[in-house]
Amino acid sequence: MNNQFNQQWQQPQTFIHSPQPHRMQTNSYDPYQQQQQSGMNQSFQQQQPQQQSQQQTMNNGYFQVPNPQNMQFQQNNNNNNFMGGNQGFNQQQQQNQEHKPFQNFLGNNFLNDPTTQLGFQLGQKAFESGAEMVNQNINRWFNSTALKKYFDVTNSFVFKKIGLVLFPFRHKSWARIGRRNEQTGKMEYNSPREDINSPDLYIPLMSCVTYVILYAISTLLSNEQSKEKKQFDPELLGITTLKLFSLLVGEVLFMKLICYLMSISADVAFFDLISYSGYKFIGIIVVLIVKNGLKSKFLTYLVYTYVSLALGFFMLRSMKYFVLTDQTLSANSQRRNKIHFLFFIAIMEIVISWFLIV
Amino acid sequence: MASLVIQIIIITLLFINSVAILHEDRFLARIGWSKRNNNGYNTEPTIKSKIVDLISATRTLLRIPLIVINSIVILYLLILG
Repeated sequence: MNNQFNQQWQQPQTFIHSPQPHRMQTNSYDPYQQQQQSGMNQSFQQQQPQQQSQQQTMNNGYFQVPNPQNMQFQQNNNNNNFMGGNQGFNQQQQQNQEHKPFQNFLGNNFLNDPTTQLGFQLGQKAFESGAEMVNQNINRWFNSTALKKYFDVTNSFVFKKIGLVLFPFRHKSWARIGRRNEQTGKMEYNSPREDINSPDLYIPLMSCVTYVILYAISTLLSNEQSKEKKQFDPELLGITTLKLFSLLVGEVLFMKLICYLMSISADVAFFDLISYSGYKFIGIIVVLIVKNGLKSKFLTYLVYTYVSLALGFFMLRSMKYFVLTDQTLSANSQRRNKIHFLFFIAIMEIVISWFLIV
Repeated sequence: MASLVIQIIIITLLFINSVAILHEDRFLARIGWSKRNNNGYNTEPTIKSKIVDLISATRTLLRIPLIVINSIVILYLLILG
């Protein structure tokens, strides 16, 4: 191996003394062309005097000269053949370095350097495969087409849904409209555009943003009232958003945990849980407006009581249809567990909304 | 705001640590929450058996990640805390 290493160092030194102007200008991005040129190099080398052709022999191993010195390299032939594609690159690079020693690193020739090209290609390939892997994993955890369905809303849906959350007592049919997919056999529910009972993510998102702004305004107003003359701190918006986000995540994870512990086997969709835990912000916004607009404690408590009752009713009625999906009466304890779960979630939402108002 | 994020992360980490630190023989077996107690024929999993499963799963699954994350947090708190 040591001899072979020496040889690779000797080889370009022989090239210094042989003028080969056509090899200097290899300003091409095309790897095929470079291979062609390296092939040209090899053919050129075969026409060189005896000393060089011997080296060529030892490096590439195609021409086996019965020389005792060469015999020990034959075991390494496979290695050399394996690296054969790179030899063209190495030779060219070394020549470039001989003639333009500094431009390889700093000059214009940097991008045209074959090694750089190789690096670029490798990097691109690595990036592509990495992006592909990330996409697969994202699709496994977050089904993007399913997410799009939650934002497929219309104006009338938004108005009706807000009305439904605030006044749920007169609503009759809470079942979601859907049909069974013929290929997969799974139930496919209609998007919010067609079905008032379907959960969406547009209203929770927008009401979250509204809540953050309202909360900032209400703290500003209370600061003015207490005459401390505090300046408005924009960081409050970020902190409130972060708190809200972590609250939602914790709430949904907690719901999932309870689903697991109570062995509620219903395939509860993750986005549905986020959506239903986000509907409480509608009532909270109403209470906050009353609190800051009318500044009457009695009215605030009254509105909060009504809104939490409505929210509890809404949650019980609408979540019933995706928790109590199977209508089999055999699993009686299962059904009782699920109803307990529903009540627990409704009460938890009401308590959380109280903490968000205060 | 960054400190709030760090606080949330540390709270989560401490909570997971507290679940993972529960010893199978020394603690859980004494209060009857060991996995070996209920290898009977009960097909209906109760809440208790689910919790026991969850604790043991946390211990097996998160042992090596917890070592790494804990040492990172310890280094961070030593330097910047």
